[in-house]
Amino acid sequence: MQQNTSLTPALIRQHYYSRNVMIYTVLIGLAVLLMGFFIAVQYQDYDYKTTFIATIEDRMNTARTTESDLTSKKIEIDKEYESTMQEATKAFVEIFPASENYTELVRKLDLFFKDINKLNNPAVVTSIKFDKPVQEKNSPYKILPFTVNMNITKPNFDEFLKHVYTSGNVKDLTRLIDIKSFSLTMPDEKSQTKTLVLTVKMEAYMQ
Amino acid sequence: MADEKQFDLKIEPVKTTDSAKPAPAAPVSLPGQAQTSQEDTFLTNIFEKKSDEKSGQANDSKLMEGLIKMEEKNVAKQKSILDKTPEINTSLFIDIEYHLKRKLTILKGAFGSLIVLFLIVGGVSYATLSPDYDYFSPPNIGTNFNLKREDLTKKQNELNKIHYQIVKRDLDLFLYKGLLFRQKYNEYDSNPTQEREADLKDAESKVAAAFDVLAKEYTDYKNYQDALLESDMTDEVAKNKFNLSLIEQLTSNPEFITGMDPKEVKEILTIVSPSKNAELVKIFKDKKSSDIATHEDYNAKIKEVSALYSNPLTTFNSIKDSRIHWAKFIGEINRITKLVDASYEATTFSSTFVTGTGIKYVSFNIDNENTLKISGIAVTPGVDTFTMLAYLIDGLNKMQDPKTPGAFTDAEMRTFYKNSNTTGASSEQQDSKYTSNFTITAKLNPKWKPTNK
Repeated sequence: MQQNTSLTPALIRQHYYSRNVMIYTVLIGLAVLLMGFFIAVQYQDYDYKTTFIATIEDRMNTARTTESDLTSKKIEIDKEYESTMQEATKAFVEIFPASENYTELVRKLDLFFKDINKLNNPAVVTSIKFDKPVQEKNSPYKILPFTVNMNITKPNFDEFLKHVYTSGNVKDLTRLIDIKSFSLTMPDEKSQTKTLVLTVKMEAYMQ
Repeated sequence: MADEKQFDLKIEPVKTTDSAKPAPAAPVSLPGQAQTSQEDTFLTNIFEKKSDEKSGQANDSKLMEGLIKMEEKNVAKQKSILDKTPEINTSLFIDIEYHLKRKLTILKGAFGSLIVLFLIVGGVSYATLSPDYDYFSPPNIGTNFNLKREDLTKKQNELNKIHYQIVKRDLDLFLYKGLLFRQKYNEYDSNPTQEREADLKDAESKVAAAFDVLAKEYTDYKNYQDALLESDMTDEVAKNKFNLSLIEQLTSNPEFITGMDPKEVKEILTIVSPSKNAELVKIFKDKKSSDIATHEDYNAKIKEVSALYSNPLTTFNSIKDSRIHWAKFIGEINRITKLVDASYEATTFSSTFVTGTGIKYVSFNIDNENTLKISGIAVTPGVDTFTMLAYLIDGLNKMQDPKTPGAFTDAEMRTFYKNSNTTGASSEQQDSKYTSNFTITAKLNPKWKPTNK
């Protein structure tokens, strides 16, 4: 019995040492793995960064060459672009101006009605009234509202509708306009030409 | 004395085994002889003990054997189930413990060393690679890398700026040529002649060339460098990243936009924005003008591009596209009215009222939501004025064919009103008995085309 009791502390110590040996072995294993992973990651980072730094000059040189090519291309395009845009800008001053330019619009309308007005087929504008321009909601353009009163035959009115629909033409430089509504009064019953008396509400557009 | 007696008593049982040996005579205590007798007794005892030891060694071993056997028998009797207790060599314990202790010490040392090594490696690594720990020999690799990367990103942004300046010019040219093409297209569409067809083809070839230039630009150019990407980035993500980087530069770096027209900056921002850019890429990348088959396809393509880009050209195009073809719809109203009222004349927007029945229009209005409102007067000699108006509403709602809606949809007039009229201003109204002022609303179908075309 004396022998057994004296062995117990030895066994406990042995157990303690064995357990700690195991714990430390596992910890060392984990530490080695972690360190290996850390070193691998850091090495990759190091390799990537040093390679990038080493090759930066080549990359910058390639970029400079591309920049030079693009600039040449842009200069080449600019030749056509400038001449075309000059033509477009000139046209837009007439068809889609940045200002009201209503006097020019009046002149153009007069010219149109002068062309279609005939003795047996009249087209006469009796009044034009321009309102102030308003900014169109959620749009980058403005509207110049105006009302036109006219005595016109149906065939000429059809011509007028066509003129309005084809307005904004770069070729004949007609200003972009549209009709919002029209109302008519009784035609002159005595007239053989069946002239319509119209009030046309219209809009001209501006940038 | 008591001890000695105990000692004596202790060995007495041994003596008792030797029964032949006479017991020593009890010491007699005499005055003056007390010390001597004590010494004698002690010596006697020792001698007796010595002699006992010598003589009894054999007997002792026998005795011990006997005792052990008895003990074993007793133990055997008590432990009827368990085996004999194993004998343990304690020296082995000492060896194992020593080795374990040594091993543990080595492992602890190794672990500590590893931690220290780890800290050193980590420290060196961060001091070398991290721009945040650039204290020892600035600039370290991390800082240097960041600076170089920044330089290359700046250069890439510069390249992208020039690229999008080119794209903007190409788009403007495409849209302007598209505008001319659409004019020719409308002219040809309204009155198709050979001359107009030739003009249209000429305009189309110019648009096709402009389309191919844009397609090449979108297909060939890459707006990023692989070296500037994270490893898991897709092509699309990378492009977006650099487009966003360009947007940031265009909006927040005045130096970057030096020499650029603010309008140009605004227009480039539109085409670089991720959503618009994705759509434009879809239209132009890896495409050819030869994929666009008809005039209508070109027309549709120009409209599509125009909707994605914002400048005066596209605004102009969108206004033109949103306008109503009044002549077309008025013609259709006249046609339908003629079916309801045989004496209706399109030239006056009115009936001749020869039969005393007829419709006369007073106003036409189309609002921004493409809602048509037509007002007029219906006249009948009998009380069936509403029947005529009902036919007119049905005529406006009639489908072009079972699957295609006509020029108007949802035509309606919910309130019908009439009065008898004997004091009308005109002769036809005076002759008539009933008149009805009406207002019909209807939705325009902008895609409608007259069937006789």
